[in-house]
Amino acid sequence: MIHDSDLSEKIDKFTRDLKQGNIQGSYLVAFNTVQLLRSIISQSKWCKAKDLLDIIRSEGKRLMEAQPTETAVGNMVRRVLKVIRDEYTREFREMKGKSLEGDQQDSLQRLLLSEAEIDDYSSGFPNYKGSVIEAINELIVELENSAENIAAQALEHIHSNEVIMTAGKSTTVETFLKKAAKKRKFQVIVAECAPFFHGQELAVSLAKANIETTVITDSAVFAMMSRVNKVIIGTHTVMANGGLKATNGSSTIALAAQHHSVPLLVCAAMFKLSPQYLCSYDQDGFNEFVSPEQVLSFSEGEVLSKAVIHNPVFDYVPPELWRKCPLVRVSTSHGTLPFGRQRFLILIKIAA
Amino acid sequence: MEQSDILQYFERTLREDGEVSEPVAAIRTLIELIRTGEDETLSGLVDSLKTAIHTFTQSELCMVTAVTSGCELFLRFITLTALDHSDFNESKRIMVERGNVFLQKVASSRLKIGTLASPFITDGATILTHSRSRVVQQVLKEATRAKRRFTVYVTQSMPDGAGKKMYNDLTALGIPTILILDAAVGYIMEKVDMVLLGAEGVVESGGIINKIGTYSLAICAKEMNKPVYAVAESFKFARIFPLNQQDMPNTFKYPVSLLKDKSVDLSVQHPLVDYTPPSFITLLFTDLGVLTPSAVSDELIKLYL
Amino acid sequence: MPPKKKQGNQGDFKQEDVLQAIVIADSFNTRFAPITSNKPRCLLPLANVPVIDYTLEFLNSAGIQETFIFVCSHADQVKAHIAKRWSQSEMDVQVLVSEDCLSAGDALRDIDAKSVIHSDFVLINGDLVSNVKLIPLIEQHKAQRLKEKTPVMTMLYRKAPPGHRTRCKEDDLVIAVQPSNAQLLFHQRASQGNALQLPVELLLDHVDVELHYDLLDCHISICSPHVLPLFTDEFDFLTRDHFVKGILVNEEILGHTIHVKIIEEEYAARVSNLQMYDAISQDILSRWTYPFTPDGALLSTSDSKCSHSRHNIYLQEDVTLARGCTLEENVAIGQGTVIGSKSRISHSVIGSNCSIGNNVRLENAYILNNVTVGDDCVITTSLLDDGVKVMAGVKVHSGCVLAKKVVIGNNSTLRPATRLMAEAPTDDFDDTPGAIFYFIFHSLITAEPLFVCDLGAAYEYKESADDDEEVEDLSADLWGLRLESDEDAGDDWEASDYEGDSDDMNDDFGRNSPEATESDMFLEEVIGTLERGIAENISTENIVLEVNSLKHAYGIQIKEVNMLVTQGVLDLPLKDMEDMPPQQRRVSLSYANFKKFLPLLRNYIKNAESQLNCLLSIEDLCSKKSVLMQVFMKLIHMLYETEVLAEEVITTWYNTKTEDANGLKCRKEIGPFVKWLQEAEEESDEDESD
Repeated sequence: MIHDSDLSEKIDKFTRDLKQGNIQGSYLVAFNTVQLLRSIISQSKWCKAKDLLDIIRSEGKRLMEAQPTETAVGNMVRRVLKVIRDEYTREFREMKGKSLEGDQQDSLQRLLLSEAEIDDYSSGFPNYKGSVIEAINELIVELENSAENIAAQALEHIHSNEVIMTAGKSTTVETFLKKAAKKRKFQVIVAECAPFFHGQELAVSLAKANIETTVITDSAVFAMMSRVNKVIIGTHTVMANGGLKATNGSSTIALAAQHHSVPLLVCAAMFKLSPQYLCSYDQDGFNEFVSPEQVLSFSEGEVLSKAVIHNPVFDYVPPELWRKCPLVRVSTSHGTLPFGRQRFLILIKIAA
Repeated sequence: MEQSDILQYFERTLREDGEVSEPVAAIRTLIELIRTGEDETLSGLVDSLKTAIHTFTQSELCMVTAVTSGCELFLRFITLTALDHSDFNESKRIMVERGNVFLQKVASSRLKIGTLASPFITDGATILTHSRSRVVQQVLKEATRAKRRFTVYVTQSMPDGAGKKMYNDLTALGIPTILILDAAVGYIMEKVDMVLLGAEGVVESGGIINKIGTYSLAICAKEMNKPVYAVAESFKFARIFPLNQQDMPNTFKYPVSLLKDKSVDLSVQHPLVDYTPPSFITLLFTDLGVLTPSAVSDELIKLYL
Repeated sequence: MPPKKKQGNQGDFKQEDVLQAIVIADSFNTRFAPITSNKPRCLLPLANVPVIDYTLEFLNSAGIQETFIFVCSHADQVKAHIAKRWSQSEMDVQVLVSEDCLSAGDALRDIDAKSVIHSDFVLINGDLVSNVKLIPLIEQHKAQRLKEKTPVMTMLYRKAPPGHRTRCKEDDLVIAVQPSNAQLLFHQRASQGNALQLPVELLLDHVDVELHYDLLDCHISICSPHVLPLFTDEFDFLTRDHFVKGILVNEEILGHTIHVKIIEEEYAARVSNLQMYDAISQDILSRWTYPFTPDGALLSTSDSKCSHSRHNIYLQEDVTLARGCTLEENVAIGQGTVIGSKSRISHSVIGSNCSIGNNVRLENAYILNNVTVGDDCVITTSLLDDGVKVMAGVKVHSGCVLAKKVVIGNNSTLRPATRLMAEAPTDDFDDTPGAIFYFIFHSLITAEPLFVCDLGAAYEYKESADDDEEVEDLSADLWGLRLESDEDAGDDWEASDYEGDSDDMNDDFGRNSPEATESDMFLEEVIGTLERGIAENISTENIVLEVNSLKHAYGIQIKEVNMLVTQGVLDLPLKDMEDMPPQQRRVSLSYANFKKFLPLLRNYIKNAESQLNCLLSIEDLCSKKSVLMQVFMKLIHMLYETEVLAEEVITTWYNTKTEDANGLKCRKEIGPFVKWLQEAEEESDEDESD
């Protein structure tokens, strides 16, 4: 366990920030998680890979529980666990001189062919810690470049004089559009996404980058869709079945896009792919509800005691909505992937 | 072992342990066959195993689809193992050893599925299920243990009325259960939050072969936008790719007694199972994890490629 | 990793100085008595998390680096909690203890003496719930101070217009602000008097004045370091209000100003009394305080997780809900609690390890930990402390407070606003002064007139005698207020209550009185007591004791008690005579019959007011019983003779005008007696003047 007071303070601070929502955007969440895990690996006391796995697992569980809606934390914890295991297997095989194809996941093959557990992660290697840290540094670099990598594909998707619709504010989409704007001229329609109005922020930022930008209300999405060539949205999480947990209003946009057969492009970095499923179509379990202040002001007085007010942050876009779109692609840092539910599982296996 | 011995061993295993499923009993018999058999070559061994498998399918107790797929997996495993070792007797020893490891894993797969699938049953849910499935029972049991309150509708599932037994089992577990007519599926569907199905076999496309009536239930659920979850152990993955109902082998569809009787016109007989294509299935809960239907082929390809 | 946003902010401040806050964790009043007799108010759970955690988490998230908590009573408990929960936190939390402080002013003087505050600081109470972002406000305060030098304090107010549910009478206030620089010009608590007295100079001296009556005082003040010495200089500053008044009055002399910041977006409120406790709990459950919600930022990592689902239902782990129980909306349930079937719960908070029986109805109930509620109970708008046991069929009505380990017997009905505690309090605690009556459980349903619950006794909590009556009325009122404003809830309660009670009456007393009110039932009981008094020859003191306990059981005002006791005493002989011929009746209504109860009457009928009540009651009774009218004068004479009624009172009563026929008749009847009285008085006057 962790005895270092400096380290535990760091962890406590991070969990508190997570709980209070002080960290904006899932990129920062993912980035901070990996950095924290890296300092746990370097600062805590362990000698066997097994001990390290236990530490990361228990601390990771704490972090995930701090804010269950931030899936990026869990994704990064899993990713780090995988790094630790992979490094171990690599070292282990080098030592044994074996070169087996490694797959840690349960599979039919493993079910049939595994002998009694060959490795219980209890061997020690001379430079194990160093190589794990190095692998995690690579992961951090990958994270840092994720938005750029996605933006690099922008020109493949955005053509001249197109009308693009987006919703809310996603940093990934923002970089994506700005990158394309350097070479091409196109028009962007932004749904404002009440009651947070992040869409307005995005519009301001795009306008500053000399992109022709229009802000519309959320209710105008359907009406405007007929003149749109492409919808590009960001997402908070891509779930295991391909469903999206995206900003409030995304579902409406996806529906409208489907109706008008407008291609839909989702920009999501690797750290947004989550092995989670939406367990029930009752969305309350996975959603996050914030203060109703923006919906109805607290100073409204008497109405408050008579009305129940909810202010959910997310929307679930079911994979069914996607399948009928002519072009549905998820842009990730590993290149654009045609949308198909089966692909996701493989993707997530890579990620986790 | 003689043919009759094999059948006897198989049926005895099934009768002695009510919780054991047919494929597990079949594989147990095959391991016994390897251990006691006198084959000196791999092809001889495979031949005698194949004969044994054919023997199982002749048994009245046999659930053909699952046994075929389970045994086929086992055969594949024999070939893979034999390739690793040059000495045949040594590899036979390893086969028995690993075979037992495999059996242990298979035996625990039902429990594993229970833990994987139970989070999908949320508090206050209403579930529709078809026929009787021990895996579905396990899932529901697990959800009850997690203190979730839910109601289950079970179809009678004629002609054998297996749903009635399911109803009794669930009621004994303290789960509020309601038995409905097979024809009432459409009526009840609007009340239901999810459909939970067992499966006799999962085919390569990710579709399932299950008790007759499953297909119509799945179509109905799809129309009403209800999620359909299928629960199946991984040894039920079968290497067949039916395109439609006709495409399914007759051995799957009709009881052995009918097939043996050459005078019977099969087209006027009631089939026992039907095929539900993957587009009607939301997710599959297996001991390999929660899979989308298309992931089934990935798994099979990885093994047989 | 610290988030970038905050890091930047904190970095700036570190170069200057440390951000400090003072939390006055003692309330210096007894609004939450008797619960606060063994637990400080700041540790009272609010949606299953101690109030102080909301306050500290608020400061912590706002970026405060050093916090001083000032405690008086139950310091050890607060210390233990802080050590457990806050020792690891990045915010430095220190507990300052001083047992002999009597007011917030004393506390601040004490802190000044310790000289721990070096710069601008935030002053709040230990019962604050808020999600205000403080840093920009502190910066604003500092900027203003650089600009003008005069400001000593910025007070924060939350906009909440009249009629708002999170607003209580006690905190009503009117302020006047100069809009240009948000300077406070005038400050008056509405509860200090009904009339608003606005000095003319206020309007003459300033071009622009904004008057506010739409504010909720959240008692967050950003103070400059001068504030503490100011408190030390002026010993009569007991509260912040005094301070504000002092600064406003002496503005010219001292050159200090107070500024006001009105918060429009965020949440801030104080758990200052039971009504606010109720309102804030509901606000928390409906997520106004986000991120400080039961499933959010408040739980420390060691606590059990809490899920949030539709209709704002919050469940911690390991909660067992029986089939068929409904959680309607705004419900939080703690770890390990079991809810029985067919129970309906709405707008309630239930703590850990409680057991709620079958068919229970909870509405606005706040139940702390380890509480047992039996089958078929109904609990509305009440607060049940740790370990309370409520047996089957109990009805606990609005505004009840049951302190630690109180046990309520089967099928009892608690009157609204009953406050019970399990043990007779000692004088060790300043929080719970006052006379305590032994409380006897009364059961309406079993028809057993009076019995003491065999599982344990409870004592009714009374405000101490030296507290002025106004305070008592106010605190008694407080929880009732919400019901008045919320018509539906009030009606519901009344309807169901009367229905239930009258049914019981029909069954058990064989009487048909659908209009049976509390006073009727009380009268019934008083007469019963008196009858037994005669039959069993019980001493007057014991009868008084029983009547007193009845009074509390029914929640009858003393004025009504006086009237009803009188009525009872007169009624009793009349009842006996019902089968006598009319002529005899008159005779038997003699002095002897009343003699026995004279001490009792004397006990209640003491001052002028009660005497008048007594007279009115007799007058009222005469209108119903003609027999009594015939002996009216005799009766009054007798009461005069026995010194129950004073002559001034009789004259006053006689001179009050009445339109009522009966009243006139009475006055006519007694005319001669009064005349005689007046003559006698004149005579004695003459005697004296001689």
